Amino acid sequence: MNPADWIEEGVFWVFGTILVVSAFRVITVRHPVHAALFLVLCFFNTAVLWILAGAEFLGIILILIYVGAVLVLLLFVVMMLDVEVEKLREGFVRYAPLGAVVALILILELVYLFWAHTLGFHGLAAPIHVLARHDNTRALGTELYRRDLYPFELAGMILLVGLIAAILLTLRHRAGIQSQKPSEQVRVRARDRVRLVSPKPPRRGAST
Amino acid sequence: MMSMSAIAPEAWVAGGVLFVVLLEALRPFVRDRTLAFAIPASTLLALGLAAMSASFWTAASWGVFFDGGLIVDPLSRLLVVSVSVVALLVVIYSIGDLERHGFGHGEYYALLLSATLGILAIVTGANVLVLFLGIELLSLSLYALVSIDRERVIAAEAAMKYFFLGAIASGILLYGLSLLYGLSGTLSLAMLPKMIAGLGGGDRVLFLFATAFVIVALAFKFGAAPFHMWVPDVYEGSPTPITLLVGTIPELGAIALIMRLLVAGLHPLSAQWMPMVLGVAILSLLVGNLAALAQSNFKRLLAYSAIGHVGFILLGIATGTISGEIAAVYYTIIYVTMTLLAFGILLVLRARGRDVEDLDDLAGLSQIHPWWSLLMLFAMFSLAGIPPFVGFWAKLSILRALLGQGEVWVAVLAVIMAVVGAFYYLRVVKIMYFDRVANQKAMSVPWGIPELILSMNGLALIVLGLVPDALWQLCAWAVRY
Amino acid sequence: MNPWLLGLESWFLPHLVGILVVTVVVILSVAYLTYAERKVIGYMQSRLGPNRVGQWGLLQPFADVLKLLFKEIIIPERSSGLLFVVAPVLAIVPALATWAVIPFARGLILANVNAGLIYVLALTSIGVYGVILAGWASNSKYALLGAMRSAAQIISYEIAMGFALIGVVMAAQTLNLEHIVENQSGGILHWYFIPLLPLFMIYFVSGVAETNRAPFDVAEGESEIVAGFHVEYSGTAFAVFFLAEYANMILIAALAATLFLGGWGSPLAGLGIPLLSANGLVWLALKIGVLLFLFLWFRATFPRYRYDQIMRLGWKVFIPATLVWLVVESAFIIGQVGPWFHGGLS
Repeated sequence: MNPADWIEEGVFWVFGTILVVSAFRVITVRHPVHAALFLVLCFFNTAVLWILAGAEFLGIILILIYVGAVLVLLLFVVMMLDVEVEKLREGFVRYAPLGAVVALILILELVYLFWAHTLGFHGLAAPIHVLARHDNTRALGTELYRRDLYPFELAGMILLVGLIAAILLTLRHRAGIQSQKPSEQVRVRARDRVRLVSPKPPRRGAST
Repeated sequence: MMSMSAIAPEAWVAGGVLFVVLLEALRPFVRDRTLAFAIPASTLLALGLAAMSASFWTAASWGVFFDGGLIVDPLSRLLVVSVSVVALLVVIYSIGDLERHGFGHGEYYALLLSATLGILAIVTGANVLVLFLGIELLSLSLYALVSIDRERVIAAEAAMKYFFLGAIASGILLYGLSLLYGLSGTLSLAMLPKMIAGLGGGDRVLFLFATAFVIVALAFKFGAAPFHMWVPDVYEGSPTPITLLVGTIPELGAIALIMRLLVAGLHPLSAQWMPMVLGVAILSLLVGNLAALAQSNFKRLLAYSAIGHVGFILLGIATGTISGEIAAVYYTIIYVTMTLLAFGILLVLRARGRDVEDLDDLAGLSQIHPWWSLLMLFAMFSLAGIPPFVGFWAKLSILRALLGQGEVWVAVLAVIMAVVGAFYYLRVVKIMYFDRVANQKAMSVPWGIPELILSMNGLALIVLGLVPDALWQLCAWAVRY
Repeated sequence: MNPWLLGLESWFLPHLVGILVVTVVVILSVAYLTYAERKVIGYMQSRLGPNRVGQWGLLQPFADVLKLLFKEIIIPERSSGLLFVVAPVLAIVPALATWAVIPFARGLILANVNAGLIYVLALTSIGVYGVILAGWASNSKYALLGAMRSAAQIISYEIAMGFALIGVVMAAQTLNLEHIVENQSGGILHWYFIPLLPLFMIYFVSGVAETNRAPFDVAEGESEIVAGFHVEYSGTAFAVFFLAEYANMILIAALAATLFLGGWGSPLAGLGIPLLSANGLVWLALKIGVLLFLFLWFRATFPRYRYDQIMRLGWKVFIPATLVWLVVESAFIIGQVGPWFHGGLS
């Protein structure tokens, strides 16, 4: 092993460990804001591991979209809501036995799976490192827009439907809101607002 | 240009979605009357063009397009045409009701079209990725449509349940599909059987694991027991036009999904998945028919009846034979026709001042609306499987396929459940014809095109029942290809 | 063996030196940017600006830095201790780390990565965490309000900014910043700001909004919420936020110069004029200087936007405008217009 390999191994183990620990902390910390922050850490470390595996575009996009946008919004909401942590945990004891049963079943299934593994499942091949100059952003773009054009466009329609659904569920036209409408303010003409009257002068002798 | 004709139905419907959204965006500048005409009209046009362009496919059009994303074969032609026509009918039956209750804005039409697009993608999907995206497109549109009447608590509850359970089911499906992809290294449904056939031992166990996930998710999307919990709530909670939609076209999508993914894609594993499907089918038969007996709400009753019918359809699949698969497709198309009629009549009655929620609301219907009562009787008899209505032939074809495989006990159970089913369908007829309620007032509303088409839909049940062979031949040809 | 780490030993040391140089230069630039800001705005408002420390007040920034360094960092009693301290660091790190992919001259770049532009976008998008965490950890309502405003604003403008950058990517057909500059070589007429003028303007205005500068500085909003997210910060911690804000300004200017104004390329390149036609670092510095002057000019000129107006501008004007221009640009590309779009469709 040459030194660069050592460094790669080291980077993997350091970030991998942080990833696992922070993922564990996401579900164990008491405060939701801290949980969200550990999730940020989680995504960040995942991105590093992906870049290490040679998928630099996916790694950076993970940071850009999940860390940079989705989790910011999540934090935004969590900070605004005053979540009562104790209330969230109320049901825990009540549902614990059921959860334990489900967990047991899952463990049994996993054990069975590993048992099956020894029977002849060879596992998946490790990913192949591509050349350093290989531009996997371009490769991904070519795949998406050429070979997978049809699924890609379908995914676009899904996003559109999400947009329509969100607006359908939340848009409310409330009556009686006082908001500025600049266009109306600009369009207004004198005769809309001002009424010219010629008042009759008070009759002479009448007391005011 | 071949691929252009292959994608034409999807393209028309997707274009319809965009056009309707665009029209809706013009609302501040255009009169409401104009939009109230233009939006449904463009929806109908898009669906009509989709059906037309698919029906023009000939043997020369068969093939796989878009690098294995889209397949054009007789099955996709049959189902694309059925889905488009059913969606067309759904719109026609619903227009009046939507207008009256204020849901007639563009979003209903846009979501209906996108749901249809999702189903079309499933129907013509030749690749696991496309199937999954189609399911998601369909599901997201349906979640939104169910909650379209957001002021009603019951609708919000139905939508929440549907959304959460649906999201879990999608996760399970995705997990199963990703296992399939990881093991086989291919997304193509044509390649999948070859890859599976070349494996043995432990890998097959993992494949089975993946298949179980897929079946659970499919059962959920189809509304089969024991994953049926959302069905009654959604049927009851949504406004009737939405129930009409949820109860019809997704069933066509589900059968397409099963035909493409399970029957074709996982064919080498059929010996393993057949028992699973059989179990789900028998459970659905029991749950659907027995629970329907206890219902007093008409829409809930139809929901449980839907679960029972799904059981029948899955029985056809579980035989693992060609004739069983033909019967399943045949059954689905007929079932959708009958459901269209039943919910269509509810909408017509609503327009005439009779909002049917409970079974008792149907009491004495025959005196006021003799024609609609008669059509409802057609629907009920056909759902119950009483000759000469077409529902009889559907049930018979499934039973024939079961007996052909020597599954006598399953067939006997199916017959028993059909008899149980007949009991509650006939109860509806009894309430309509023999229960009397005082203080009836008739509201006469002139007939329009929707009423005319609905009546033809009802008569079609008899006509198809008298000449059942034409549709059967069509399905047989589509599935055999 | 990972290709990213190939030959790590041989370039480790030179890069360390490079990183140090860039960091020091950026920090010095920040120091004199604050000086320039006070001078420029001073003259615009008929004042003199700082003129006491050193000749023409030239040592004023150092006096300020020393003052801040010697002040006590006060950590509010019921604040979230660790996060309170980490927040300024999270603000400064992305502002400095982004410089890694900025090409200063031909071959003069710390890390010449293929996905450079996306790296820039990703790093600028995580800069918002410093602000949000500072606001939340302070346990102060003004700070939280400022943080919320800032988060919403940055996310909204990031979209318009991203779309504007897509325009550049479409023109250059690469995400590598050095190649983007190379593609604009050949004088001022070859720079992308001409065919992409709307995108350039949107990018720069969004950049002003991203850095929370006037007239988009509602996150600080002295007149409404005291100082917004950093109201509880003092001493070095405050200085770090200050540094981050100005480093971000310089970064936005540098990116705008690189992406739209030909980077290190001379505007007179190709004309054969001695000295003036030569490309080099000086031109990049000059372009950054001009753009930074715009930042200061904006601050001296425009009154602060109202919050809902900021949102309307971002969502209802900028995003649709960028989308429209991307379509127009596609037409340019197909038509192979001008000296900019010669590659056609690849």
